Amino acid sequence: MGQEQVLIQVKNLKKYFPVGGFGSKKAAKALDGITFDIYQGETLGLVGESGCGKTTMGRVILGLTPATEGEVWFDGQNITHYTEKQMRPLRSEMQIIFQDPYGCLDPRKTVFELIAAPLKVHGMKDREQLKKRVLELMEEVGLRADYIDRFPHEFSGGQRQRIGIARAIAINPRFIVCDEPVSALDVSVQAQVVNLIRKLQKEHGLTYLFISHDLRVVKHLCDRIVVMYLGVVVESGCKKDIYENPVHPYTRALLSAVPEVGNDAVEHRTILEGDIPSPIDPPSGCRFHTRCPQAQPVCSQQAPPQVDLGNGHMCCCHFCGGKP
Amino acid sequence: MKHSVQKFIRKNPLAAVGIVIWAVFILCAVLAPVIAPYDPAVQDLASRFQAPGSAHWFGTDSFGRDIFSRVIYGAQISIPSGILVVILSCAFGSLYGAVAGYFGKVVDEVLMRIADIILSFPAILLAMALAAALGKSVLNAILAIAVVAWPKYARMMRGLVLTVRESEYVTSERVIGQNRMTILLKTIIPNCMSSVLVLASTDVGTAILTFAGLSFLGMGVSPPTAEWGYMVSDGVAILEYWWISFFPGASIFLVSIGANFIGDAIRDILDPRMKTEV
Repeated sequence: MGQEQVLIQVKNLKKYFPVGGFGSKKAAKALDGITFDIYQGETLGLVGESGCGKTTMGRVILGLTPATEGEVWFDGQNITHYTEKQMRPLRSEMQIIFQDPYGCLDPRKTVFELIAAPLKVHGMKDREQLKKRVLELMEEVGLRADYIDRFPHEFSGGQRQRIGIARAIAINPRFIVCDEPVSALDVSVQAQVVNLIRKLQKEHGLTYLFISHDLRVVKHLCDRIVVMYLGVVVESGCKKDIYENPVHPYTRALLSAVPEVGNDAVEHRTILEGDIPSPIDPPSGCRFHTRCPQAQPVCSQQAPPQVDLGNGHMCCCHFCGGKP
Repeated sequence: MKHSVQKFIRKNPLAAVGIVIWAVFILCAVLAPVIAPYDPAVQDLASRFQAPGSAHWFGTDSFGRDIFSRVIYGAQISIPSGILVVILSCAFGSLYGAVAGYFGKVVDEVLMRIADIILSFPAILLAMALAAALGKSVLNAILAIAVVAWPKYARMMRGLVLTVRESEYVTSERVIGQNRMTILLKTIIPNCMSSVLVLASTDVGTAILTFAGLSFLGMGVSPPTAEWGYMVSDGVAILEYWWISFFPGASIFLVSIGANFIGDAIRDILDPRMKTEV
């Protein structure tokens, strides 16, 4: 990893979605004060349950959804309030791979049109040149050249995801948000796509924000991990620290839920009760206290401080300093 | 060539029926002077109210005019005016609704309230007022009907655009930096068009009927010009001579049904998912 050059900075980012119609003051707090950095060339894993704000995070970084508060910096520029027009030159630097390979490709366009679109937008006009580049990209992501005139519905989920990936890398971005890129795929295909994503990173020196709820995939791909719960970061750190020495009870619960071959310690699993609470009216104090196996009275009264455990390992819990 | 025709008929039998119906009517319209046995406007009071028979295949009306000839000449007016109304209102209405749905907020509010104002009038009444104000002519009647017909396309298109605009493939166009107008024209509208075309195809019949209504009320076509809708209303009061209304009415029915069949086929052809094994 190139030593610690920050590519993306997210500072105290908030995204509230208004709910309840006109005049209502209620809001779903999808992101409530998120801060983290992404370094050049690394893969940052963003994990958490469904509904914790992971996908919103990716969209806000890319400027697809405006932030309510806070800042997003890309390569030294504050892009939080960039207009669509100001973002355009940056589109060739930041891309996304979508979660749903069935929904993210226009059903009326052929593979050629789909992959050529970003090239056209960014200035490549010559038809021969476009075709050459599209074929190059198709080869790179492992699609046969004779698929070029086919429509998305003729492909399997894995192949569609490859089309989506080709589209994302077509204009040589530096940063790609991978929004659960394999969660909609069969397990057998997941591995192929994960390996492709990894191969591309090596070859192009890409930086990834890898959003996922699958901790095995994250372990395989990521250098550092941020664990989110209900719109806030509960723990972050490098892969080794998170997997070998998880501190936050939520992280521990997530990790103990990962099925593993030969793991007979089933009885030691921490099973979380109930669903994630509503982001419209999040629990007071520590947001996790309603489900936390170690909750104490203080947890429902005070928001926990952020504790630095060294080596970039951060945790938000009243008790991660040692005690219970 | 012969092979592909057979294949088309096997895959879309109804569309083939629709195309045949339309081909017959269009042929009639074009070749009216050759096919029609009588002059459509000439009265022959001696042979009025004759039932269909060998002399007058579709019978004669209250002025003794040959209904078969009049139906054939009527196609010259009814079919093009019906199509023209639909083309005008569909093109304008869809674009209007697409812009409202895509840009949303104030644009949407303002545009759709204007459409609501037009929808709030009884269609035929507004069309009458417009046709009367514009002056009596076929073209003005067509314009008047198009002006009252477009809001339903706008409403439909707006609804479709609202769903399509949130789809991930539209996000995926935004994220590559495509400009908004290109996304609207090249991605969103094409993905909404198939449903609109089906509405349009069912609308041809309605347009012909509305046009007929206007003619009946004295705007649009003036007698003795043959026009289907006018002919239907001619016979409504004297139902014992059923053929006076029946044949032009049946023509309207056939043309509408044919348009529906063709519309369904167009939708299938436009949907890339339907043309798997080519």
